[in-house]
Amino acid sequence: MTRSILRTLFLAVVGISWTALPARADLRVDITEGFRAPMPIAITDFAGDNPQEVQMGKDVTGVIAADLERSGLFKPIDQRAFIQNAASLRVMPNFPDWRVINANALVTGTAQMQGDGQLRVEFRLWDVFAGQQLVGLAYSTAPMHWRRLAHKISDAIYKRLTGEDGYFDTRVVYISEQGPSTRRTKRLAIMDQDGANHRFLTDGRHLTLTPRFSPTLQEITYFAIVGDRPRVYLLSIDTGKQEVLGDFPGMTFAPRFSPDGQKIIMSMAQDGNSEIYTMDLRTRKVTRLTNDLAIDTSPSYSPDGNQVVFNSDRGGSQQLYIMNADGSGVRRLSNGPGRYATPVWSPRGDYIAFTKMHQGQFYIGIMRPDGSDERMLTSAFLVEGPTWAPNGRVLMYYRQTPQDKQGRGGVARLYSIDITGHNEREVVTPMDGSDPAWSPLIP
Amino acid sequence: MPLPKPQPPKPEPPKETAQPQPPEPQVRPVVKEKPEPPTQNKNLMASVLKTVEKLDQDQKKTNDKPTPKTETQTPPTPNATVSNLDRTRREAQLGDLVRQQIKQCWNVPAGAKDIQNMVVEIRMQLGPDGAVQRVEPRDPGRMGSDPFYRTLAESAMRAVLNPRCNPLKLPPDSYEIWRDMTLTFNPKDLV
Repeated sequence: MTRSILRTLFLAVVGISWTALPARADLRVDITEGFRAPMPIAITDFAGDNPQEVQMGKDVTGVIAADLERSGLFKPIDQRAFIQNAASLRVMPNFPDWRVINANALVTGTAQMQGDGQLRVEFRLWDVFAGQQLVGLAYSTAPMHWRRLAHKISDAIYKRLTGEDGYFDTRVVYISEQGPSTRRTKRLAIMDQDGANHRFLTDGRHLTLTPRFSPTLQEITYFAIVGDRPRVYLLSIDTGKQEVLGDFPGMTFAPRFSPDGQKIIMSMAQDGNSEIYTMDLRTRKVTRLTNDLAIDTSPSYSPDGNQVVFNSDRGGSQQLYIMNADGSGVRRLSNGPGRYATPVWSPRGDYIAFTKMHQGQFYIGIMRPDGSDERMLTSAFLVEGPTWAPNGRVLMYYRQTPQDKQGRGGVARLYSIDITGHNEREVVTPMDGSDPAWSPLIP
Repeated sequence: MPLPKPQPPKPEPPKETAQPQPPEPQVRPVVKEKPEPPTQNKNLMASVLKTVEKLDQDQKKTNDKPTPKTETQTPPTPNATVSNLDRTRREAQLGDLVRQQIKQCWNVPAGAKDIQNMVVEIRMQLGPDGAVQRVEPRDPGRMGSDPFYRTLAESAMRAVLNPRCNPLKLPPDSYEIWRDMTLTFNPKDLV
């Protein structure tokens, strides 16, 4: 289904040559103070030559503006403030018109319906202060895939302005919950990262938990209780085919893929003890990584596949540990007060996200893989289960708000937050949501 | 049920006819709007990262903090003769004036990977009115090879080209001191 995407970048690096300056000492000034605010960006409706193209241009730019706004790093400027008219913009931006409304960046483009029925969208990103083009790209696709096309443009803009890959052309799988707490229906559901194209993957007859995406995208691993047997399953999104992963004597749970998609790492509980195992998906070979009387669970690989972070109560309380991928070299990672759970290594490699419980409160936090720089990003009665956007910049998790003082009932919702601790947003789902898992970028 | 199989959009180069004209020369901006304090820079502070434990405290600090005064932007009394000894003091004063202005224009790309270990030097030449005539990172070669460095360098150049900071308000009698400047943008204490 995938073809590698060719892209042509027109990068304009600042091109003013520094002719020989007179030998004179520069005044040197250190700048160590600044501020953090979303970058004001002007996103103009992509132009079209007939009503259908005009509408398509408007729809595409609407999705782009919503993507960039939701990232918290950009602030699309109200189109009513625009000065330059659409006709002259098709020729060339008049930068002073955009500076006066404080646009730091400008997005222009066109939408065309081609003779072969394909939609072709061109866009350009401009640096307003420097007065130059930063990137120019064109995409063609069947009109029905216009939202993906818009997300790809959002990703290109995000990448050029932040230096990081985007995460807009991605999906989220999560547990959709419905009904009273005594008869709760839990179904696997999938949607685009912006909530569009929502659909259910399972029918809710069985309890389903902790879905995780494969890095190769077509598969999800999750935990389900079918009959009275709690097991780890694999599900192909394309075919809908489900299978039990392995025939273990005990309960298997907390599965995750290895970064190359070839292995599943998970816990197995037997006689009250839980250990970490891997299973090779091709050879079905099972390897035990931990051997300890304590409860070892929630394993997650480092992006290079060489290490595994997990949680264990081997030190007396539930803490995070790191070991080599073969189970050797176990060392304790977390040292703060409270209990730590559900560690997840960032795809960028620089942080490990976790759930922390301390004095009756839950936190979503991050720390460096050497245990330093621990920060709590959000806190509530119950927040749990962080998952990383593929660029390692944004986390999604769920929050449950209790209905009574005993913590019963209540609503569960998905949220996202930037790793700086800013821009916490609800990710709207049709029903209650928990256990989100972010996909990699769709190839 | 199988998912619909979307065909990935195929990028192609945009039409040559729509190629942009050469960029305008980077001289003084036509726009001369009055600088207004940016909405979110009241807390020009130690860190732009948020931790939930510190929320309440920070909020209080923000509220207590007076809006940035414009007095820092008023040139100090001109000093007709500048001795060598005075020059050092003068440079320190000018440095403060530049810092006071640029910090209101530098939108720090917080959260970018390893940005806390990065520093970018921006070299610029100003006209007698304080307007930027030339601006370039000291290490332009790294712009093409390191996207995070480029992001930081571009944030720095946007700061000096921002109409709020360009032209810089500096005492004209010291023009020979501030005509050529190297600004070192260091986000270490901010992220």
